[in-house]
Amino acid sequence: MAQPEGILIEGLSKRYGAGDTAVDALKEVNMQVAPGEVVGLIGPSGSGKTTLLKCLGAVIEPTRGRMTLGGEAIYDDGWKISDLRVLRRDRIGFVFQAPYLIPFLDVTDNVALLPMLAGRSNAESRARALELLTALDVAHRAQAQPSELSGGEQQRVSIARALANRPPVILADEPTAPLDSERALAVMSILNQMARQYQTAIIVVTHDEKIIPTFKRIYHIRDGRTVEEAGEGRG
Amino acid sequence: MKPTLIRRAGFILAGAALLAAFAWVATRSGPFAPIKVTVTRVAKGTVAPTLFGIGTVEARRAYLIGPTAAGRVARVLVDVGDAVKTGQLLATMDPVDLDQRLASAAAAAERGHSAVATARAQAADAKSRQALAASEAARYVDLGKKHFVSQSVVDAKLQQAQSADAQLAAAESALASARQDLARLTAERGAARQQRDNLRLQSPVDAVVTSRDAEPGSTVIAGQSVLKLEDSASLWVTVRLDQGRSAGLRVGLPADIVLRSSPGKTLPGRVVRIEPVSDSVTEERIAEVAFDKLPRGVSTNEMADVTVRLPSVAAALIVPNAALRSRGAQAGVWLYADGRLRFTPVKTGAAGADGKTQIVAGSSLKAGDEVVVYSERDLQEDSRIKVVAALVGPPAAP
Amino acid sequence: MISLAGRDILHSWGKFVLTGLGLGLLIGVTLTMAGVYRGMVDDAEVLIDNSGADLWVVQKDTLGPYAESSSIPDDVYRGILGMPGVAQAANVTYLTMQVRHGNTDVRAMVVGFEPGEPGEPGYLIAGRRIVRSHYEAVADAATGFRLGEKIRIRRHAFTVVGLTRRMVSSGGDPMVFIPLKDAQEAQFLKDNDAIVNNRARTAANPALNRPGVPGLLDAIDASQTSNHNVNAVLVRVADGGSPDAVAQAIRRWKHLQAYTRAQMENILIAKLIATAAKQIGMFLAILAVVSAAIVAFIIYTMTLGKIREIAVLKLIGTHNRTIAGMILQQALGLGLIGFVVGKIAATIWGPAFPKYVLLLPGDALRGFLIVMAVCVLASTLAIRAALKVDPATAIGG
Repeated sequence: MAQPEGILIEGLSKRYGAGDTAVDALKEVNMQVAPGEVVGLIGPSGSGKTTLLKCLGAVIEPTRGRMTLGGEAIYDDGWKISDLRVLRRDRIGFVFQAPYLIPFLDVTDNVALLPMLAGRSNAESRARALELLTALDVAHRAQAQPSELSGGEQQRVSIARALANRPPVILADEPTAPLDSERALAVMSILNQMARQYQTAIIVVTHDEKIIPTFKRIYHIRDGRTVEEAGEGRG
Repeated sequence: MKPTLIRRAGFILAGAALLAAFAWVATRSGPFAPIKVTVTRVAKGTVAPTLFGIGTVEARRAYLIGPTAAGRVARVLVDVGDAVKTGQLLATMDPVDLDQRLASAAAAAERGHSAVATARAQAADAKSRQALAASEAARYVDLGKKHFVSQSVVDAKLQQAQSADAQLAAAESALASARQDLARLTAERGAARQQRDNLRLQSPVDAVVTSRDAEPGSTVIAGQSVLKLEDSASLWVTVRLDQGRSAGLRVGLPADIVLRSSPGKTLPGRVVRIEPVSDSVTEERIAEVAFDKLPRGVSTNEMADVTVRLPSVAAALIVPNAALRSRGAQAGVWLYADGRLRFTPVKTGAAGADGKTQIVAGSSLKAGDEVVVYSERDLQEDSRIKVVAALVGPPAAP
Repeated sequence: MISLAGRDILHSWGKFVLTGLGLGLLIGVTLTMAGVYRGMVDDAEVLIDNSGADLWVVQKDTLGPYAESSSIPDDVYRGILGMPGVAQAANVTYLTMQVRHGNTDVRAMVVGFEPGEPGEPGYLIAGRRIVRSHYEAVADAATGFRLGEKIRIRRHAFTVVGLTRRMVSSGGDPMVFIPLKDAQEAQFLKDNDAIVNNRARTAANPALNRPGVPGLLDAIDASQTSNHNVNAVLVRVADGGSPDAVAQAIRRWKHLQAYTRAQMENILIAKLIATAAKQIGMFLAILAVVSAAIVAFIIYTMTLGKIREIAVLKLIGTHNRTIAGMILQQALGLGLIGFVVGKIAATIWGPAFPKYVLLLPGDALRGFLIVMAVCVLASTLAIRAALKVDPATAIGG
């Protein structure tokens, strides 16, 4: 394709407030993640990391800048795509610190929910869910309730959910924070595997030292600006 | 897989149960539910009608014993509850001066006797003198005829004889008068004695004293009662029957009497009289029912419940009277045929004490027809009904 | 698309059902209160219908015989019977009093009637009609009397020979029917002590106790203890006759008051029941407000418990509409369960109330619509809270 897939940000800025009390949370941020790539986003609190994540997640709009997602323009200097919600549903996958599965839906329906919301039939949605669950090696828990799963299994189900609508980008917010190093590395391994398998760009926001060596590329953010750095890339 | 399915199944089951309960509630109770009724067949049978009335035990004959003139009561010899015989002295009034007047009349009568004796003697005397004068006059007439004496002497002797005749007549009439006087005085003495006797109050019949109304020393006027008596063998029950429900009342009908004082015992009796004058204010007829055997210890004015048994009506078409309904002013029953109700007017005849009522021929009801007896509500022609065996449980155990 | 509301309910069905039960009992109480009011109105209508009368003739200037006491001579009916348009006219007496039964008292309205005339109960549910002229009674089943039992009314014992149903006074007291003469005696004859005192008083009066007139004192005593009054005359108008015309004639010529059925209904329902109706109306309003508040609170709490899930759903792209719909469906489902439970509860415990509770289908339908409306309104609070949730809160700071 001529347009780059994955996610591309140019000159993204976010200003809160106006006049003397204005705060520039993001200043001319540039970022680019290709499909299949897993990059890290590291920064201390107050650095604008969360604001950037919210812009990437199409939750808030930037004040200036461009963002392209899967070849489609999302923001372009004041203009934004009309329905952010649909964007979040179809083009962005979310993995949270905690699995945040819907407790009153079983595992399959938790994953199938997103395709159903996107308008696919129940049967098709469940079939895709089962496929993902199999890929993540939790298919044997497909009919269980989330409360019956172990933490690691729940995390894997949440990753499956993030992938359900085949989004071009997945945003992972501190996915390994509560885990020990073995499990953390296991999660990163899965993420890398999924990224490759489904050609998804994955941005992992983290300050977990244990997994930093797994990234090939790392963006550091400080005072609203990002700096790219090459990582050890141990995958 | 299983828990969710079980859970889902359980929920659906609970939901279905809830809906079923709801549907049951909607159709079984409330205005939509069918009206429960019981039915029975019209049959032929015997109706034993009765008439019921409340009666009072009364004595057929009651007597007020009192003086015929005002006076003071001297002695009362009996008290309430005593049995007295005919002629027994019950009380006496104070004679006041009657004794003296009786003595005076007696003395006068005695004097009359004496006067008669005197007059008789005088009459005898006059008679003897008249006899003498008459014989002398006859002798002198004879002598005069023979001219032995002068005519004037004869006339004188004749005149003497006439005078003696007259004196005899006078003496005889005086005697008669003395006798009449005696009779008068004797009668007066009798009257005085009668009046004296009136002060003795005696019982006219064998009776029982029911009331002692004046004590010795009280003053009573003529006609006021000192004692009240009742002929205890003549007790009967005066029964009052509703005019509207006394058809068929006749003398001679058997009756059952239950005294209030002994409610368990039924005493047999018979209707002996029906009063020709009824009570128009209370709309009742009055009849008297005599005991077949007079019970002991019965007091008058005691209440009794009397049931007069009318002759049974056999082979009558019977319905229980609970089946009788009225539509407007028309009485009838609800006929239940082919699953539908129809109001059939009927005329009722005799009604028995057990509630069975005769249907008079002429109504369109026949033996074997089913009629509605009990219902939860008033029925209309289009009411939805449901026939059940009974609407309430069995009655209280006696 | 699966039903989020349905899944949520299925998942925590115990909590939901229990909440529905609680709400249902509240709704049941509300429906029962409405039923109590309808029952009171029905009592009045049943009283009017069961008497079988088209006209009530009572003492002039009274609202009797039910709303006010009325006393007329018992021979007045003869004159009324002779008026044109009158098919039947009969005396009745009404007296609310305690009827003794064994060791207990039952409050009942004792009705004196003439058999075959208006005033007699129209139908029985057991036993038979009164046959004897005294000391038999037909009682309403609500008195608790059974066939064959003996009850005491004033001085006499009556045998219960028949039972009826729904024969009640306007106040809801069950009726006991006895022959008219016995009822007159019960109403007007005093107790033994009073009679003895009265006799002594008469005997002490020299104008009445004349020795020269034997029997005078007895006659006066008898007249003082006899009674010839009744409370009303019930009239059935001949077919084709006009009750208003007959009533008008009675009022004009007989110096009595006559009420038609419509007027009697107005007296009973507008005057007698008015205060109770207001009371019940206020109570119903309060119950409705309380129910609404409770439903609102329950739904709000349930929603707040799902705030995190709602934020996640919004973040991953669920429409606001879908989330609002979930909350609304849950509220309506709760309302539905509550209504069904309430209707069943009201039907089951309705007959246990001492007075008649009438649950009309129309009332149930209205109740259902109100419950649904209340649920919708109550859910708006929770929906507002849910819509205000910022999806970004799912992304930790």
